[in-house]
Amino acid sequence: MRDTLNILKRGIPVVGLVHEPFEKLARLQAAQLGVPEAPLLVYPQDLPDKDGPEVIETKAREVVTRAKAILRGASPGQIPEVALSAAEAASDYRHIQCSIDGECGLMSDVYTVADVEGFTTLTFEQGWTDGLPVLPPTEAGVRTMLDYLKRDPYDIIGVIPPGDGIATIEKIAINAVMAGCLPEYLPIIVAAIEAMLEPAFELNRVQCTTGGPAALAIISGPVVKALGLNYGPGVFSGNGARANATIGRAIKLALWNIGLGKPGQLSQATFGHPAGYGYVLAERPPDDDNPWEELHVSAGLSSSDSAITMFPAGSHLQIATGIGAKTFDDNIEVIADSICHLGNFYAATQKLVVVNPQAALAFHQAGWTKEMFRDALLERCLRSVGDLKHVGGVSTTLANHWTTLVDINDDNALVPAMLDARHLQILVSGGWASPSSPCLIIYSMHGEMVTKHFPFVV
Amino acid sequence: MTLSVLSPGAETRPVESGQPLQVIDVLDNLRVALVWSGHAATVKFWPVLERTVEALLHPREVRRVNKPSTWNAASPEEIDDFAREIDYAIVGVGA
Repeated sequence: MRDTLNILKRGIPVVGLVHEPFEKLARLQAAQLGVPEAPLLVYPQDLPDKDGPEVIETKAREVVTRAKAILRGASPGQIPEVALSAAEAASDYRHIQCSIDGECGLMSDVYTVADVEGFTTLTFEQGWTDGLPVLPPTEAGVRTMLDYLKRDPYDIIGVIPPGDGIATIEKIAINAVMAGCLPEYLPIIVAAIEAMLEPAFELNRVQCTTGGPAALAIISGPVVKALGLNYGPGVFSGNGARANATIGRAIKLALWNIGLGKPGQLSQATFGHPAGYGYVLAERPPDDDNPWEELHVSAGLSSSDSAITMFPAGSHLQIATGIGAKTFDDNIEVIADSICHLGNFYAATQKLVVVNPQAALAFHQAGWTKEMFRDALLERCLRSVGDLKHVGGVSTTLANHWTTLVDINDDNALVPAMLDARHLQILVSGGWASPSSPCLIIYSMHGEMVTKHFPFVV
Repeated sequence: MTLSVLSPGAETRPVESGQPLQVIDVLDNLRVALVWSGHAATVKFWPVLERTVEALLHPREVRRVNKPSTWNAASPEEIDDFAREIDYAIVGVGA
């Protein structure tokens, strides 16, 4: 869609092809980006296994004939009802006009309500929340955030897709207040936005794709203890730690309110991610049962640095590894087998293995470094071409699709699940484990994690 | 006692001042860019579409642009790279 619009804006005649199920997304995005009349050609989605060559040929002829007519000036077709509602939706968003309010002194529009109940009603009417109630972003609360950060509220961090909302410091601070953050959390949230806007992260995919990923925020370094982040029992779930819950929540609200990644509108997530309300993981500090190099140190930062790593997480798989109860060779085999399931072997993609402290210490005491643990997994995470043929043509255009890595005519050839060490990240977190020794595997959808340092003085 | 709150919604990026929609009377013998997002659902369709464009629209020149990422928009530089050398474009397929 964006490519169609960007070509159009150069004055070049263009037509953009869109599959029927995604017409609403395309028209809403076109309206949101200021071109509601974009020349789109909507046609039935391809069914690769059902559409034989004759069907595809016929469809191609119809598409090209219609494209020709559109390029010659014909209307793309009666604008369907959905397009009108899309334009209306866009105008709803656009009602927010930037004008310096003398009373407030900030750029944002001010709404006045009778009380907290009235505010809650307002948030749902305005679409300011994904369903969970939020706190009122008063001027005083936002000012306290901004005073801590000591940055110009009008500083622009970037433009968040798919809605292309401008992420200013002020807007990020407002969403942080709504999430219940303390001011000290704001530098982390700003760094998270910066990380997600790096092209490698593929934020537009994270916000829009049917795969329904979620942005996982991994926090590491001295900030973890200083802010009381939970890196122990129940690290991913509701564990009572304000920092874990509200930092993740603020990131989500920024993606929601600034980026407009809303299901059924600009997001087409089929199921969505259960951690979509907020997804934070704090890494265990080196002085508290983490014998291995911290994640941000592996990314080139110093152990004395504080950092956030944003990971485009597709799935979240908890497994029982039996570390401490079985041989290390058995443990590696179990983890490798779990990484290599067919449901996530369409391409070599980045994975994150979260190891519990008991397991990490067991390996460490037996002489295993993090690199040895990682390399043992890389060696084992292979499947044969014969196995992978079951997954057919899923996403064959991905750069690291399995068909590009080996001779696809050799059923015995082995395909790697990850390309290299960069593709397999490991960290230690969570509580002490039982003999089942649960560990976690988190799969990237396709993009890769991005690490950002942020200033934090303990 | 009332409560004043600030809107969390952001201003959207200003729309670039673009050209008005352009049309072409005759497509024959023009230069076309076929810009493919590489979406998995169109792996079989797109090559057929490319052939069909050549057969039915008779372009003088075909510029095939296969994007490395389905979801990342092409950069302005990437678009500029082919925009100067084409008369029209067909882009697909938006998922």
